[in-house]
Amino acid sequence: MALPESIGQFEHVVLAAVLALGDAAYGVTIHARVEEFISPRTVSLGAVYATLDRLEDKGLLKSWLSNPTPERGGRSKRHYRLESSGERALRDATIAAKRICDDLERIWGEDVWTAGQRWKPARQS
Amino acid sequence: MDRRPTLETRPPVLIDAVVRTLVPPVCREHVVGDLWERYRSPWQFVLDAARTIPFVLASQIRRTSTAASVVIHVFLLFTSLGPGARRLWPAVVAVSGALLAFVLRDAYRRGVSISVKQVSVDVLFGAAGLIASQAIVALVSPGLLLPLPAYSIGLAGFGVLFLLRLQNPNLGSVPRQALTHVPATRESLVGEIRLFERMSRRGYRIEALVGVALAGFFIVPMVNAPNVVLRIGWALGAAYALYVAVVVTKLQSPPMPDGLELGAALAHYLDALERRRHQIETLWRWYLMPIVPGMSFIVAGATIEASKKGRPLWPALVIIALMAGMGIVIHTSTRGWARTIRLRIDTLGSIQS
Repeated sequence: MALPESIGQFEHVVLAAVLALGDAAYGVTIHARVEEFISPRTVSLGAVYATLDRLEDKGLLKSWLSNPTPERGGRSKRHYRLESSGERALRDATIAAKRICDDLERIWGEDVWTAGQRWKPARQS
Repeated sequence: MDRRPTLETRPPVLIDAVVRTLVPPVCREHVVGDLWERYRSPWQFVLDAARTIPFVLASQIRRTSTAASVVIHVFLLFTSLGPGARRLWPAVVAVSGALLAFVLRDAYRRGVSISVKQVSVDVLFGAAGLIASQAIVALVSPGLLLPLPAYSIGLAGFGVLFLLRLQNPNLGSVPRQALTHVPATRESLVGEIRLFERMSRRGYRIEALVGVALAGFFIVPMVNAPNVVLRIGWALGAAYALYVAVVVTKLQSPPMPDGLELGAALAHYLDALERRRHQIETLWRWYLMPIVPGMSFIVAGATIEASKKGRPLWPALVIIALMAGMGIVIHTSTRGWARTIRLRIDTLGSIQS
């Protein structure tokens, strides 16, 4: 059986945002959800578009234009949905990330999840 | 369609017009719509657009200009403009100007153009890029200007690019959406089949005509060759060109008969696509390898002649390297084209089953 398409870290985040948003996944909402995920870092809307295009070319996403809405100057939204191959790639990447998280939690302890308040690096330079 | 927003806040007309122009047409609808939805002030709108458009343009260029098409353009422009330029840097500047114009033209085009008029406009854009680069160079560094005789030889390169683009309008970069699209009706499938047949016919005709023209052209150096090795090389080159012309004429699939039912039309199309995929996958065997004997004799004959006259031998090595490089690029890009046809076959095959 062919291996599922491999994805990068940012592609992982974007795919997760599309899955989480369901029917409401389009440029503006995906960008907002991605920024929530990677907070406190920020990312431009353009970087999200470029990643969505790449994921679509890999066959992991499907997109279509919706009906035009007045608040957008009568322009359509491009909606996105995960293909089954996209969901498989997202699951594989998430399992890999979970393994890394579990291993690092063993080293750093549970304090690693407390937004940097009590957590200290294991190695002090 | 009513384009008036219901909210009071909207970007100033002039700024909006500039942003709309800069966003490639293929993604203009949703990108400009998203920018409008995020609008808070003119300054924020400009910043948002400035942070978005470069990514959108780069993504569109990635989709419309494959590495293979860029290499082919550079090769043809360089071999046509380079000899007349006589020095490296004027040629590099001229080729870069023309290449940038071609790449931007492809990114800002509305879909793939198949008409002769559209392909002519594409090539004129490339020529305009060359002229624009020369106008800038004339102001900044006149020493890098292309000498006038270079333009006459350069025209041949643009002519070959015209034929190449007429033969392969998308140069291998077919949007995935087009490949995975399922025709909704029999009429839309028949439309796709007729377009495929038209483009195939045009491609084969151009290939055959170029083959015959090259065979005729190769007779001139064959007759005037200073040694027998070169003469054999040019004769083999002419034979190769004629051989390709004959082979491509025989490769054409018969057109689909009118009035076929959906299932029969689909079966006919899948058969034609499968044949095309096989031709492309085996291109190295019937198109690339037969050129090797003629080229070997030509390079050997030119090397003998150069050593007789005490000229350096490195140009022969450069030509061999260039030919080998082009062979690898063509082979790699044809594998990509074969994969795109496979995807279309798989998509249409799923309807059949």
